Amino acid sequence: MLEKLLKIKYVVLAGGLLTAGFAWAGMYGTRLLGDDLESVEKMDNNSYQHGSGRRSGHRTGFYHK
Amino acid sequence: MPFNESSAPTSFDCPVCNTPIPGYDLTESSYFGCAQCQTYFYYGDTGPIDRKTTFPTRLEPTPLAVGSEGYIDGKWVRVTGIIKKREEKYADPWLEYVLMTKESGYQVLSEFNGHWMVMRPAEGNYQEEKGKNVTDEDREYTLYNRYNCRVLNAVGEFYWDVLEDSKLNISEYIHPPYLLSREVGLQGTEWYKAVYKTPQEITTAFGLPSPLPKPLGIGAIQPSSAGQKRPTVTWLATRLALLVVVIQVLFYIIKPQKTLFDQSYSWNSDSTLPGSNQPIVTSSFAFAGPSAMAIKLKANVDNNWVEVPISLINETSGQSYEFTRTVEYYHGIDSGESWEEGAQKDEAILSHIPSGQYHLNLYPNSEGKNRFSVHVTVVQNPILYSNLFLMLILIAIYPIVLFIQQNVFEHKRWEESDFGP
Repeated sequence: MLEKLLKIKYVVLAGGLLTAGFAWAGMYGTRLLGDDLESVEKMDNNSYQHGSGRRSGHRTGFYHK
Repeated sequence: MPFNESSAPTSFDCPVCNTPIPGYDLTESSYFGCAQCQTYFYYGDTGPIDRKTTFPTRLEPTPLAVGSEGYIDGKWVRVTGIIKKREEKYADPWLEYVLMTKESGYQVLSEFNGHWMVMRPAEGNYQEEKGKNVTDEDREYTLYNRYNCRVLNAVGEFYWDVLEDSKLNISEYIHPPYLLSREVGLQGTEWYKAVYKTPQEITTAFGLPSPLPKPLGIGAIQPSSAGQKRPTVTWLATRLALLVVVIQVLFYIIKPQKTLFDQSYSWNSDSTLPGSNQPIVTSSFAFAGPSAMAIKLKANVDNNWVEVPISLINETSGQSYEFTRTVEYYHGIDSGESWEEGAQKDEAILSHIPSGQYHLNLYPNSEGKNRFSVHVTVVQNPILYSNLFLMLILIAIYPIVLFIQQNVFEHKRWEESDFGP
């Protein structure tokens, strides 16, 4: 089998890298595809406790029968 | 025989045009074809010469000439004769090079459209099954072609009368890169086994100065590159898929899911009420990262929706992670059929969140004047199913591509056959 695997060594390498990437993502809780996070902001130290009026929220669309 | 020692290794003159005809195995050979005058004749140990035929067309220069030496599968061979044939039904010709060997008698090297194969007598008794299959100890061969051939030309020396080949009923069964050929004639049935050779292999075998032409189309027993790789790639892919699942299970054990926060809040969407625009600010919780964080929302929406922009705030660094979830649930009955759309819950998964003390700011909004109950749950180390499925899909892509390539290849191969599966 080793001889056969050597014939597809680049596929083996790609598979190994993919698996390593998967293990790394699992270790650090990283999603490989997509993220629900929209933005990361640095807040004023005094303002993060209360966000009143910071955002009103705006619904962009929804299904309605 | 009147040998002419001036032509190596031995030769005699053509009885018609006196051109020297080389002889490499005159103890076995009794039939000869003259390259100069196209005369084909019998010349046995005792005379006289029996002219069998004169081929109407001259044999064009061939990649291998009579007398060429080479090593096929590490064994010495010499071309002693060349036969040009075609099927009765089709005009496309092929060449058969008769190869003399030191150990195992004669072999035939066949070339059609740049596809080469070495054919050797097969030992054993074979039977056609189901009218199209033949099985030997190693594999099952499928009927690919049945034909009668016509001999167009023959040059060199032969140990049998090549003109008799046109009386044979030939059936070819394939299991690429192997072929089994059955030749039924008046003298009985003979079987031959062939194996595919690439032009590069033939170029190397005979030490040709320039490469042979690239093959045209798909050969009857040409191995598919995808088909050759597929078993190993599939083996590798299944092992990688298994490894990925094992890794996922390991993470589930060493980094278990942990609920950090679980709380319900009440909120009124009536914007005229005082404080309705105030965000819901949760109590803080400690998060051990870097890891993924799942924020799960449940809301008692009923034919309604609530949109919740959320800020996850790291109280130490002041970093704010912004995202929005919408919980919407609709149901009813249309034309006697009940229907529902959406759900009373939604979830966001945030990647690679560092360690720290966090809290959430929720800014719910909706239409109408309703009182909502919003339940918030924060989970550390949620299972990232999307990673698992993405990996399994990526691992499966190449085997699937090879499967498709192999099927396209086989489809093209069998297009040339009258006996497609």
